[in-house]
Amino acid sequence: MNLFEIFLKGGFIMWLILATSIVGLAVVIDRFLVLRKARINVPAFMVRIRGFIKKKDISGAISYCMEEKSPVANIVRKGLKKYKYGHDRVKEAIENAGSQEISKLEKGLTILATVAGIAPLLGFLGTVTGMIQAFMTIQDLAGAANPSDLAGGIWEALITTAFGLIVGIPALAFYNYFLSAVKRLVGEMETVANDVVDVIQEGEAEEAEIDDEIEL
Amino acid sequence: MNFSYKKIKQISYSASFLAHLIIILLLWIINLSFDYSPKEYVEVSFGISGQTGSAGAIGDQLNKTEENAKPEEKTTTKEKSQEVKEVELPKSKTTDDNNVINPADKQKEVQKETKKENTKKETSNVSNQGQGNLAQGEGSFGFDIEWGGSGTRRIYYYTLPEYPEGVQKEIDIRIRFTIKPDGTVGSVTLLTKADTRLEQAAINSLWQWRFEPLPPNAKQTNQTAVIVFPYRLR
Repeated sequence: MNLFEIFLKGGFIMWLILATSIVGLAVVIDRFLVLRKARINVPAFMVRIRGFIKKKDISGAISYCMEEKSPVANIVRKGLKKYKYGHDRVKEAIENAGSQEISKLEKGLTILATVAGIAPLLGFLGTVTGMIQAFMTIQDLAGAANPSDLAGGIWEALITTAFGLIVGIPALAFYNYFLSAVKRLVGEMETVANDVVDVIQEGEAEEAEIDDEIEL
Repeated sequence: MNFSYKKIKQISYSASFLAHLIIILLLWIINLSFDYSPKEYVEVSFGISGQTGSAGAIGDQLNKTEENAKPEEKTTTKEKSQEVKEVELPKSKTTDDNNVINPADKQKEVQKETKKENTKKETSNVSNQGQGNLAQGEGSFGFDIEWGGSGTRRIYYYTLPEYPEGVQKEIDIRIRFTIKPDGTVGSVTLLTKADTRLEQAAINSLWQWRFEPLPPNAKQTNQTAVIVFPYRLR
């Protein structure tokens, strides 16, 4: 017996499970690509950005952020655009951009979580309906069903559970993996953002000191 | 930011679709079979007489073939030589109780059968000595089947060899034969050397035997059994 024939024996619930599987895998690939691009070498990036800001080369820093093409660089760029309005505005802009970026990174993870939950449940539904059918046939046969009739109905019913779990288990694993990856990225974003704000603040303070000295 | 989320989304959805197509193709290719390999040596048992035995998965088919097989059996065992030579019928070694009906029941059945035949005999003038074989074996048939290991193959149809004319010999002819998956007899090997006419008679009748085919989910292999045709003068 062909595995695909076994698949067909599961009935129409199998197609629903296949659909959840397609959506789930699509989300997994999507998140994988997005998160791989989002990953950057944070210390190196920080060193470069600090250099630019200390030299007051804001346009240089912005263009460097454009090159980096990662969410971290993106929020730093958005913050640096408000450089001339002071560090409070920079912080505000970074926070705004940060929440935007996080929502972009987390997009689809709820779908993945739903797939992880729904696929096994669909499988159970298929099994229960299959069992109902099997027992109905036994009733139709007026109890004269031989064990093979019963077993046939039952194994066909159990296929949906098996496939539901096959889809659900990796989906759950990937969901947790991506969740932790996003958490790590958010942490990196926070450290970078704080660092940038700190550096700008330091710069402002130095300027103020110089101004004070001149005034004195 | 240069890379667009939309593009990635499109790419990933198409990739997912493709991957599932590939998975389905793989499912198509992979042949998951719950095959079990049958024993190489088999015990041969008589499914044809058993209403009491467990019919197994293909019990219904069995009963049908039984009905078909029985009349044939009668015709083929007729036409015995008129001499008092014949194949004696020792007890079959079939010990599997599940597949063989109780000897008492069987004897009754056989007796009934022979009674019927006796009435027939009177009307038709065919010498029907061979038919007596069935009654003689005390509920079993005229051959010994040896086997190694367990596993059973029911017999759907069988014929007994006639004692060829012009031979005066008492000998047990042992034949090793294979049963093909479809229940027909495959290769036949003589284990005892005897008169060629006896050998031929034994082999010719063995060729006509039909066994229960292997169930479709079993591995389709030949099974080996050894049968003994004891030729006895009377």
